[in-house]
Amino acid sequence: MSNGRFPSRLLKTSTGRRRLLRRAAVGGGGLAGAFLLACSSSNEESSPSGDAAGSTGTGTAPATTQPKHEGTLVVAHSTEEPPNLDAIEGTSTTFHNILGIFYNGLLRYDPSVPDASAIQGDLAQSFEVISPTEFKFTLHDNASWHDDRPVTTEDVLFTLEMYKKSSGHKGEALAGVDAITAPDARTVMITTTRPRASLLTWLSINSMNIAPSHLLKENAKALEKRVMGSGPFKFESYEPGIAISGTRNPQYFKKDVPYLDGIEYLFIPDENARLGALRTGQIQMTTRLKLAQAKSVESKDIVVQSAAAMSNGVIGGHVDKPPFVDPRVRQAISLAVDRQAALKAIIDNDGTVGSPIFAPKLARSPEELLTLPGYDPAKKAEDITRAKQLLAAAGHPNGFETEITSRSGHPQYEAISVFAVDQLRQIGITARIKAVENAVLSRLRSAGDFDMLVAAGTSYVADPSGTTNYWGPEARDFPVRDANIARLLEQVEAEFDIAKRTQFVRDLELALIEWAPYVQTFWTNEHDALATKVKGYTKMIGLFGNARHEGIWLDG
Amino acid sequence: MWPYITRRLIAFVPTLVLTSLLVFTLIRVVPGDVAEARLSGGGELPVDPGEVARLRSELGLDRPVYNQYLDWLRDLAQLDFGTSLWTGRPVAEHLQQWFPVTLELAVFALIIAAIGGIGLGVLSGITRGSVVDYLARFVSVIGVAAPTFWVGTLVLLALLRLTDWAPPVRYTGPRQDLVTNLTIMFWPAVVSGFASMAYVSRLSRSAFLELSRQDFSRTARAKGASERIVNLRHILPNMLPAVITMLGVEFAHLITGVAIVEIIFSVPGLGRGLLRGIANRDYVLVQSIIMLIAFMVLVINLMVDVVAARLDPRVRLS
Repeated sequence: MSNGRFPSRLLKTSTGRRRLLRRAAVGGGGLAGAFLLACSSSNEESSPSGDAAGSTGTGTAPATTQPKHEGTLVVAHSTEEPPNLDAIEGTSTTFHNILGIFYNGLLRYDPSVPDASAIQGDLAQSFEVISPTEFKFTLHDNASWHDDRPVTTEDVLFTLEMYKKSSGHKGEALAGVDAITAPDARTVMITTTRPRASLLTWLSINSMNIAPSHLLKENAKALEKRVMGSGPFKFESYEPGIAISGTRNPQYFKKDVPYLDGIEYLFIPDENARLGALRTGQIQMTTRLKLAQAKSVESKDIVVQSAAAMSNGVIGGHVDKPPFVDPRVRQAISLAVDRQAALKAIIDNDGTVGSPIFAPKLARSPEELLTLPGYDPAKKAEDITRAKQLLAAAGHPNGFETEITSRSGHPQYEAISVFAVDQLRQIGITARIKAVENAVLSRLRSAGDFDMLVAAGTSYVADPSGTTNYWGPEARDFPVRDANIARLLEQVEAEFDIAKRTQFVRDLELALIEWAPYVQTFWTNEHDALATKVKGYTKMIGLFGNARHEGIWLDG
Repeated sequence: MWPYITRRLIAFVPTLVLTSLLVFTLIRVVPGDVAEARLSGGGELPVDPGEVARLRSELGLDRPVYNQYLDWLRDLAQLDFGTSLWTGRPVAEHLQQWFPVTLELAVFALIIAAIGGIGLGVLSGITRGSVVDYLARFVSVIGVAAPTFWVGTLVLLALLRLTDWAPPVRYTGPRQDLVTNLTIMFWPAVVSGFASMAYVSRLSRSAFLELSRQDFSRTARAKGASERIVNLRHILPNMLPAVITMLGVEFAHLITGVAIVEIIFSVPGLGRGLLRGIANRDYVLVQSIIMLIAFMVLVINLMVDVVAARLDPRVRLS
């Protein structure tokens, strides 16, 4: 039985927080948006819909068949080959989009819900929010590693403790976690020092895989060359530069799945070769395409599924350096940049104009954003005038010269940089582009060694906390130094009531737009193209969605 | 000949040492390093300077540069290529996998270049001034002028459009399935060999025309030999040394220049590995691949010289 969305009647019935939490747990609810207050009373696979319908409906496969236990799915991701097989230490999508089939997390997003707004147990048979700072997970009693050892609470504790200490997004996921304990052989308790409404969402992303402690305790690098998971597919082979493949795990603890006999990921670096392979039936799926590429292969045999990638393009000044330390300068830049024009010119409208927060169910819609300063293209002339006034008030009546640090050899960075130069010129700011190689850019960003910066990154979760790596107080690029925003962020994280949380998120969004640490130009979409015979797959938003693929089958 | 070969082999040593110094220096001049690349997850993740320092130390990159160089050179002399800084696997393992693939592709391309180039050149020479000659020369000009990545992409798209077929994208070795392997390698070889074929064709044509005006050709014709006999017995054998020299040079080019084709046609060879290595700042891998390529070029040049001397008695190796 699958988890549904958070029941609306439950949300409407305000009976006190603890009671609400309990009712949510008993009701076996899910969540809405990033509102994470749910439990799973069962962990069985979602009922197969037999539908490969697009998340935004650009293509639909016939939904007429029942799942079949046969066939090998051949996939070519656009992501690079992972440097090694260690999906536990690995942080980037190259690891998890491919190696995710071998693992389980404690939780996961319901693979049939494309906006990642429903959470299911994965290794956890059920989970419960005891209080805003206490989370209880009950593990399946029959989960085992591919070497037949049982998955235990010790594995979960070991892994989460390891993640908690790590830098990067896995550490961020467990921020504020005070203790991870196992009161009995099947129960894991997580307690936090402060309310963490987003904790379950973070635990559901596909990089939060649980690791086999019995191997890693002996050798921390044990998984670099040997895959050992508990997931629906067992590692079969790795041919560097060619393919990684897995076969069905017959001892998988979830009933009846996976349907496929195996999955093979081919490493095909050239885009034309990938699309050609799909057209000629050599592969059944390729992912993360641009719209034009996807449309070029769409046919009666190939459907396209689209979803927000939760990837963005931003322009901003160093908030601790003059002249950007002055809020009027930042606001002037925010007013000057025409976001609609950026969306059209840079990504051909294949995305949405965005706020600094990616949280579709909580934050403002693109239409609502039009009412905010700097967002309405029809008011651009007024915005430019106001921007010049702000610059003059900040002591720059004739603008100033600055440098935009950007990444070389990356079309999107280059396009945003050129666009930014053009937009800034309108208010008298003369910018020159300093394009540097990727690793150098990373170093400069980490050292804060830039005046203005063009960045493109990803929100890990569809929640305000997903973008705090950009603007949070500890952020690398644009740390916001504002007590009000810090307070609002705390309120968002502390609030489990969806209506109240939505309001806090909107207040936070508005405050961020006013503080203007950077200009959020757009949020991009991405597209997967797959053969119509691939059933049970739904493209999910973001880059860290479901990667188990246990509910996919091939029809014919 | 043996003293010559011995001298040339000895001369390999300073050449390779110089190459090693150059490649070791140049790859480090390129901004960024592997520790940052590994930790930044494609540049999108914040990099903790402490973590970078720890990883650099773990990889031995914090040692004095001259120590790193000397250690690497010492290991290389013992045919120990070291461990990839990116994948953590022995470089020898990567080379063992990639080199035969590239070698096969280069040999295949060379065969296409040789057959096509000599054939086209001779045909062009025989039919000098005709439509066939102009057509052959047009093809060779295209081959010289068109960049490989463009030809490769065009071929791939044309195959898809015209035949609804594309070369298999999953690489299969010749020992696993020879037919599939040849099906995979044929089009990349055609694309790689196209430019070489053009050069060989131009050389063959001019050599053919020059030789056909030589005294020995005229004498043969005066003695009543047919044009076919003159071409086959007198001109073609005399063309060979120049063509073989050219093919040798082209073979070295093919070994070093098939990277783009390998990417376009999903062939997991040395060039693709080299490009990945450079992108990831995998110093050890890049250095080893370049050294292997340098060694191959030296060997090919030596072989070409030896073969040319065997074919043409007028050439004396000294």
